[in-house]
Parts: sequence; C-alpha cells; structure tokens
Amino acid sequence: MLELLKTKRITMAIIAFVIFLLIGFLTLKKPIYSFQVDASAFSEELSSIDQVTPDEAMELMYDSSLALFIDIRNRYDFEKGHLENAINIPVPDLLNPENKVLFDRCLKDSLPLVLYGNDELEANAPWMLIYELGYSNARLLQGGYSYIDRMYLDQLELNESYHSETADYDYAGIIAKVIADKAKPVEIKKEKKVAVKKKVIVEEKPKKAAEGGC
Amino acid sequence: MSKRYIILAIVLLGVAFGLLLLPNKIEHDQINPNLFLLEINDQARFLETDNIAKRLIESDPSLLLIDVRNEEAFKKYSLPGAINIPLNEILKDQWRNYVNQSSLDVVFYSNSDVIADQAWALCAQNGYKKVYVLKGGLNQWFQTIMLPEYPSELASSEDFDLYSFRKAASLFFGGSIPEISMIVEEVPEQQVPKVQVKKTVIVEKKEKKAAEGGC
Repeated sequence: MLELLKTKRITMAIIAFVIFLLIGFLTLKKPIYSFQVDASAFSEELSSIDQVTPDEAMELMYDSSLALFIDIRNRYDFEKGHLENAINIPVPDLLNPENKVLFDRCLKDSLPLVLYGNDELEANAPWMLIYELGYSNARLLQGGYSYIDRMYLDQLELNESYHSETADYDYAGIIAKVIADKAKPVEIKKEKKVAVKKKVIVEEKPKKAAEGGC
Repeated sequence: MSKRYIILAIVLLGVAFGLLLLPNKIEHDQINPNLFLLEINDQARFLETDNIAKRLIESDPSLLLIDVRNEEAFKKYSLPGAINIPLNEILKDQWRNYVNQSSLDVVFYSNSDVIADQAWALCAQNGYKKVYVLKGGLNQWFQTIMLPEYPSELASSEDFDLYSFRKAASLFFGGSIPEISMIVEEVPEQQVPKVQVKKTVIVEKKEKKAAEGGC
C-alpha cells in the first residue's frame, strides 16, 4: 500500500512540473524590437556609412517613393515647420509597436529611412538605435532641419558646413600663435604732460539746493 | 521495477533533452532597446564646457577625458589629461577598463559632439554607466573658454562673472596673453576756448560736493 502512495505522488509532481514548463513556453512573448547588430561590429563601420547630405535631401523629399523622412523632434517643432512629406515620430515614441509595421515595410522595399532632428546631434543616437535594431536602410540627415531651413532662407553663415565635425578653429595654430606672441617684447606707451591754459566761460547758474532724503 | 517509474523517468529525460535543443538565443551584451531609448531621450549625458574647465583647473581626479578622434588630430591638439581612443576602438578589450568603470566620469569629446555622442551611444547600450559627452566639443571649447566673447552692455552680472571665469580659464589653458596694466601719467583735458561777443569771465570752478543723501 505504501508503495502505491509514493508512486502516485511522484507521478503527480512530474505531471505538474511538465505542465508548468509548457505554460511557460506558450506564454513566452518574443520582444517586438531586439538588437540585430553587434555593437563592436557597428563601431567599426560607423564612420563609413554614407549619410544623407542636405542637397540629397532636397531631391529625395518631394517624392515619397524615394525615401521616408522621419522627424524625431517634438510635435510643436514639427508643426512650426518640417521637411516636405516628413512624418513625425518624437523620440520617446520611436519604439512604439505601431511603428514596426512602417519600419518593416520600408526595409522590405529598400526605402531609405532618413531620420532628422533640429541638428545632426539630435537625431544621431535615435538613428543608431534604429539601425542596430536591424533597419540597415536607416540614415541620418547631416546638418539637420536647421541647415536646410536656413539654406532655403539664404541665412547660412559664410563657409558654414553641414559636416558637423569640421574644426571651426585651427586649434594648434591658435595656441602656437599665443606662445609666439608671449615671447615678443611688450611695448609700453608713455604719454606726456601738457600744460594748458584754460579759458572758461561760465554762466552763473542758480545753485540748486542739495536734495537729500530718502 | 514498476512500469510507472520507467515511464516517468523517460518523460523527464525527454523534457531535459528538449530544453537542451532549444534554439540558441543570439546573445548580445546590449541592454533592452526601450531602456536605451529612455537614456537617449534623457539629455543628462551632455556636460558644459565651463563645467569641464572648472574641473580641469581644480585638478578633479574623478574626471577622465577621452578624445575619440583619430591619432593624428589628437597629436595636433588635445585637452589636458585626455587619452586618445578612436571611435572604432571604443569597445575593444584593451580600453574596457577605461570606459566601463564605476569610479570616474568618462567624458567623450571630438571636434563637435556628434562622434562623441556616437561613442556614448555605443557604450551606453552595453550598459556602461558614468559616460558623458562634452557638449559642442572642441569647437565649443574654443568659442567659450579659449576665445570668450565680451558680454554686451545689456548682459547681466552673471554673464560678466562668467566672462571673468572664462578669461581666467583661457589663461590657464594657454589661450591668451595676460594683460599688463600700466600706470600712465595723467593728461588733463584740453578745452577749446569759446569766443563770446559780450564779456569773457574767467571763473574758478568751485568744487561741487556730491549731494550726500542718507537713508
């Protein structure tokens, strides 16, 4: 009799165990977005990816079959002004499940996904994220919205480049010049005293009583 | 041996075997994409040039500057105390102890801030904490610290304080010549005599006492 009891308990325990395992497997949800690109590999190809220049953007944005522009700024900035045919997905909403359909479709059709913000910096990290999630058709707009906007209004500064990483100053040159200037002897100007005869015509003015008080 | 035992043993072995043969999950070291997005949206990673200048002047030991440009650019000019890790090497094993640690503040910089931000993104998605970006990079450094702009007349006193700080900092970093103040012999003002039709009166100027009010 004892023998039978033990067997029953063990059987029930094992069956329960297997059922729990099955439930666990069936309810396991695959994450919507997951990294497809290894970060180390990405770090090496980063600098060789061809980003979109402002001139290229001007050609692409008027035909939605050529590229999809995604404005990652907030809704207010988007409403103030955005690129033609661009859609607005603010950064916090970027990984919403409903966007996956859009991204997948663009990837399947080999349609470039051009992310842009006010400047290149704003859209840089979001672009890296989208690219690493497997969307190798994602690109970044150099110069951002600001460059194109000012280019259109002819407000660009002289020699302004959309390549953000150009040095604005000759760093080493400036320091070298300062060191060279420090070595020069300093000229001290002296000014002479000049005696001047004064002829002053003054009208006697009524003196105003000094106004004191708070 | 009871038949039941044999059957149960086979079932368990079958389950164990099945678990072994599960498709291998592609193991990435990267954190959850949604968490990464939150960090991207939080702009706290950007540090101002004034902040870094102050810490450099005070020899803050918790600061580690990393130049992510190529070696040639680094050799031409770099910030004091910075080490050079080009962007494509940032995740290599040899540098891991520099970029992935919990005691120092790692600040990436480049000519501007885009490449430094890319270095930040690569590190942050691998879960590295304490990584930051110098806002504006060397361009901003030169514009604010080395060649500070004199504030306009309408600027607040804080702007003038900031300017003084920046001017002193630029001396520290070798960006300007110290101004030498000299005592110059005073020159009295020359006044042009007026010609009047009527009388010409020469009057001594009396000293006017400033109205002293008291509150």
